[in-house]
Parts: sequence; structure tokens; C-alpha cells
Amino acid sequence: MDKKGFELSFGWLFAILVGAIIIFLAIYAAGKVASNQNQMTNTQAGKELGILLSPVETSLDSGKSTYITFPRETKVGNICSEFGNFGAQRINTTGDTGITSGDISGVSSTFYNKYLFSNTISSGKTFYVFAKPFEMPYKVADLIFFWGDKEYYCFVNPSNNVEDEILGLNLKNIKVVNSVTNCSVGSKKVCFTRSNCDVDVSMNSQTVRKENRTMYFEGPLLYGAIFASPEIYECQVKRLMKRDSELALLYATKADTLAARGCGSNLREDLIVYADMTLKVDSSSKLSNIAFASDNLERRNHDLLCQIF
Amino acid sequence: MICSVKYSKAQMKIQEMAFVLVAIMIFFALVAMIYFSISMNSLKQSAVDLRAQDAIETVRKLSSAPEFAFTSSSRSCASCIDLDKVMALRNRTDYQNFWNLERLVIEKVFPEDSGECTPATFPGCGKITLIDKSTKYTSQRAYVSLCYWVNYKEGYVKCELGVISAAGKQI
Repeated sequence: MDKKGFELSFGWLFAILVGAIIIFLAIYAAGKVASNQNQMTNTQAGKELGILLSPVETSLDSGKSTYITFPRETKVGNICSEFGNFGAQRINTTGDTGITSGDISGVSSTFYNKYLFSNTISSGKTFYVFAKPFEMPYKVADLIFFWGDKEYYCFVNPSNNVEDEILGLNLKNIKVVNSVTNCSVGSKKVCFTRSNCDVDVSMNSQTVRKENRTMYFEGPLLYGAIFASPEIYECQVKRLMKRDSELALLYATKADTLAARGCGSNLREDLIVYADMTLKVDSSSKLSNIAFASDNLERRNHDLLCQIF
Repeated sequence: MICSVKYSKAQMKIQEMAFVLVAIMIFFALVAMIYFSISMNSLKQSAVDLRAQDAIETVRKLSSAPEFAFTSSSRSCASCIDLDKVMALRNRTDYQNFWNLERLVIEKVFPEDSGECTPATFPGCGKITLIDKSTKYTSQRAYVSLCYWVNYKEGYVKCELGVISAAGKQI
């Protein structure tokens, strides 16, 4: 009987083994390269987003709005750190480049002079940006409010100023209505005259209640409390107060030098006290005290021959 | 004495295959090296471009930053820098990393003056260096008005032509 069988020689075994190792290494390396490429693209997008936010900042204008479109669906992460002289604003983006599956976020870009009020993670392809200067009593910074094209807001009975601002700047994804029933399904209801909405605003007590937390606001921080998650809001308020404190010291030095040049103001001591006060702010609930001191400083500065700020 | 070693056909095949595999590995390693070198260069370039872009946007907006903007007057001025404030900013180390810049200098263009400003020489001086961390830089410039208080008679605000130059980190 003729027995025919497949003979697996040592040569074949060797080739299969080494070939398998080479193919495995090649696939592993390709995966690594693709994931690095993805991370690189996301890191670059994060930095570019931070840079693109600069032109939105105001100079003499009271508000500015624009939008930023990414080439693909993107998640923008807002990380706020309150440590250091000014705290830090970190921005990272996560977007599927199509090279790899899964979310690989880019390395965060750090900015010390930006204050972004948004959810911890905002998703979408187009993002809407709205900036307003924050003054206490001098300009402290530009507040940047940021939301994605998948977030819809419904402002119910807002005050005239708020309504004028929203309609005047033509802010996208924000609807102004008279009754909650007129709000679209899935939109976040922001109520100014009633409670039990997603966001409850009280203009009298200057508070915003959201996610079972109460945030206090002054001036344009109202929008910050509406658009940002409570943790981000509280962190940004502390960062703003740190910058307010540094600016107060800067103005105190200026008052000193102007006094030496023959233009005394007697504001130096008050500015130093104000700097200390703002530096100690650990929650938005202290904002009303700061606003009171700030109004006092503003009145005194206004009466000066050579104004400090 | 001549020593001859005889290889079997199978041994020769294994050796051939091993050489081919080594050659393939070397080829892939070379391709990977070329790829990484090109990609590193392009990454380096895009990092430099991003920093330059950041510096351009920063310099464009710096005159309206609260630390620079001239606000102590009833007249509003979009690109006026308060030199009295900048002089106060000179010795503040807290601001060294605030704008992510390697170099930040404010120079007077007209009327021409020279020398670094100090409290003793101000305002009759040419430039104020706020940040100077590097000798290798590419500056971005923007023309601004430099305003300061002059104590003459009732006192007035004097503005001169200046330039603000900023440079991001180089790699």
C-alpha cells in the first residue's frame, strides 16, 4: 500500500515560526505608530484650539462670539488647576482619526492666561465660543464660554440684558422662550423665574443652582455658572481671584511710582488689602464681599486726577 | 591537512532562509528609521509653527491684556499700552511663564531713545525687557502706542509710538 503523507521539514517549521514573529512585530509596530500618530494629531488639535481662542478675547468690546469647526467628531476636555500663582487651564482633545479604534486623548496644552467655562468634556464637530471681559474693579481677564453643537440650551424668561446679549451676538444652540413648554426636547432648561429646571438662576441672590450645587456669580460669571460644570466654575473663580490679586499688587506698585512722580492717590494700601482679600477666596460664595470692596475701590479711583486703573 | 566540511541540503536551505530573514529585518528597520526621522522632523516643524502661531496671537492680543492695557483715562484706546504698568511689571517674577513666551520686549520707536528703562531713567529710555530667557528666537512684532503719565502743570497722558516684540520657544 502506498502511504502518502505531508512531511513538515525543519525548514518549514523554522520559516513559519520566524515569519509569525516578524508578522507579529510588524502588526505591533504598526499599531503603536498609528496610536502615536493619533495622539500627535489630538495634541496638535488641542494646542491649535487654545491658540484659536486668543482672537476671541475682547479689547474694548463687551462681548464676542464665534465658532470653531474640527475636521472630525471631537471631545474637548477642560482641565482646570488652581495651583500656582495663576492656576492653569489645560485643554486636550480626543478625536478618532480613523487610524485606530478607541479614544486616545492628546497631551494637554497648558495656558495660564485663559479661563474656559465649559463642561468637563464637550463633544461635537463644531464648538461655539462666546467671550466677555470680567472686571473687578479693573479688567481681570476674558471669560470664554464654550459648548459643542450637541448641547442645546433653552433660556426661559431671562432678564432683558441676558436676552439682548444672546440675540445680539446670535449665539447658536441657545433658544430664548417665555415658557418651559416651548423648550425643545433634550435641551438644557435654564430658568430665570422658576425652579426645578436643569439650571435655576436667581438674579436677586445672584446664584445659579445646577447639579444640586449652588454657585454664586458676579457680572458675566453668570454665563460661566450656566455653561460650566460646578467643579470647573469654582476652580476658574479661584484662578480669576488669584489674577485679580496679582493685578491689585501691580496697580499698588503703579500707585507708588505715580506718587513719587507727584501724583499721589492714597490707593496703595487699599489695593494691598484688596490683593490679600482676593487671594484668600476659596469659593464663589465670597464673591459678593469682593464685589463690595471692588465697588469701593472703583469709586475712589474714579475721583482721582491721575487714575490708577 | 585540508579539512573539508560537508553541509547537507537541508542545512543549506536553513542558512539561506536565515539570511533572507535577517535581510528582511534590516530592510524593515531601515524603512522604519527613515519614516521616524521624517515624522520627527515634521513633528518638530509643526511644534515650531504652533509656537510661532501662539506668539503671533499673543503679541496681537497683548495690548489688551489687563497687565498692559491703558485704561486709566476716559478716552478708550484699543492698542495703547500703559508704560507705568509695564514698569511695575518689570520685576514681577510671577509673570515669567504666564504667556508661554521666551522673550517679551517693549521698545520705543518714536521719538527715538536708547537704553534699558529703569525707575531712574524712565521715561527717557528705549526699551523695557520683561522676559528674556533665550538668545535663540524669532520675534513677532506689533506696533502699539506707549502711554504714560507726565506730571507737568495739571498733569497729562503722553503717548509715543512703540513696538511690542514677543518670541515663543524654539526647539
